[in-house]
Amino acid sequence: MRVISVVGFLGSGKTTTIAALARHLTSQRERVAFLINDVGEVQIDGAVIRAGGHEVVEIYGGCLCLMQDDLYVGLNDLAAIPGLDWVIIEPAGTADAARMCRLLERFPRLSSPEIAARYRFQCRLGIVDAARYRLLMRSVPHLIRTSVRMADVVLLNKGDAASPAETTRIQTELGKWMKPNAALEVTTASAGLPPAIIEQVLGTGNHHV
Amino acid sequence: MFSALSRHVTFEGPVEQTAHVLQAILQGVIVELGGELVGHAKVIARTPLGVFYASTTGDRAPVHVNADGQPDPSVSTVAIDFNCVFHGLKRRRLATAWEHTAETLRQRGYRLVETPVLPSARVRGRGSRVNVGLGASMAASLVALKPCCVLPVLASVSGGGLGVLQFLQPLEPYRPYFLILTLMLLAIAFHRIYMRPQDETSDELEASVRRTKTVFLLSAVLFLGAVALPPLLPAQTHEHAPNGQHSHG
Repeated sequence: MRVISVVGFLGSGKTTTIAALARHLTSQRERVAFLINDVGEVQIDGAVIRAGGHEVVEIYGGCLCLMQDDLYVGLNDLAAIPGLDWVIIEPAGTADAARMCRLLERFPRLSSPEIAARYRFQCRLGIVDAARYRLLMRSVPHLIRTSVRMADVVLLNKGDAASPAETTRIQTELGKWMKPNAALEVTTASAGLPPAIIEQVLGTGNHHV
Repeated sequence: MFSALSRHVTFEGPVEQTAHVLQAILQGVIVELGGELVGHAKVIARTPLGVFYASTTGDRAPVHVNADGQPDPSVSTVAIDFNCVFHGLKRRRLATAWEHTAETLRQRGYRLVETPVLPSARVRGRGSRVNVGLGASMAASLVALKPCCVLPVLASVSGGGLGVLQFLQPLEPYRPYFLILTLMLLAIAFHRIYMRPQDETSDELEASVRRTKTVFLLSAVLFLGAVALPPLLPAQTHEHAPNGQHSHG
């Protein structure tokens, strides 16, 4: 059971990105399920993903990074699905990426040996909104920087909404916070993800827990 | 500080108007909120055979409604869920924006009926900051009320009428320490409640924050009263008679 966490601020394109990943995995006959979180009291993203015919566990009413019990129950529920290959986790857009990563790294130590043997934290995917980058860096810089620092792959999304010069400036800034071996790609998730980027997300296999 | 608002409505009308209703909801709320928004608003309409959904971050791009599946044209009632989360806005402002938007749509002839959103059972771990503030306020109240000042003073003023409180008199010499402890508890409560604002993401949490603030303010008033009261009372002196007897002046 390979796990991908997709962290990014509200409206950065997380749901669109995971929908693209889901389409690719489904086309490859891989079984994928989702754990979708929102701070609101109604679930919208979960319904959108479920409309695509996918298995979804929804956790709402709070940020997943503060709901360890619910997260672990959700992961255990998904681990019970026979033949499950991938779990894609979308925390709320207000999530602290560092806290999310710690929770996901700790999970196998607190789960059953059978689940722990199958569990693999495959990729930490961070999504940054190129169109609103300057505004978000004024308002919530900690969340943006943390999501970049923790990521194995950073997607600078909505690349079509920013000028090439601005995109380059943003990439330079993000590069200062990224992990040495992390990858940075400019995307427009609403137009679909290029196969190379998908393979980078799915193929990052350096994080055995 | 983030605030979230969720609403559930039913739209009664032709399903082909659903996309327009969703666009109007999102654009209406964004316009009502105004300014530079940090967050997003989302809306989804569920029909038996498909869903319409849309989201906006408040920028000027037109809201595009996506549809999955083939909504049944014979359906005349559609369930709509709305959710918005914004940074730096009070929840009451989100609620007002929603109410104005819904009213505007009704005035345009759209039949929108609001139904209650069931309280989320999964609000965990997020109340800790509120609970610390509440706990500190209540502890401050107890310390101020019991040994610190108020009850012993009432015992003195009552002239023994509240005899049961006389047992607190021996604590009177320790009054300064209790005052300092109470002040520290109130400072902790103040920091937790006002310096580290709680996200407002549900009616329950908003009510919980209001209750915590009420308890804190009552505790603070009690403390101030306890500090101010003794100096305002007539001084009671103890005179020692030559033969060792005490008399009260």
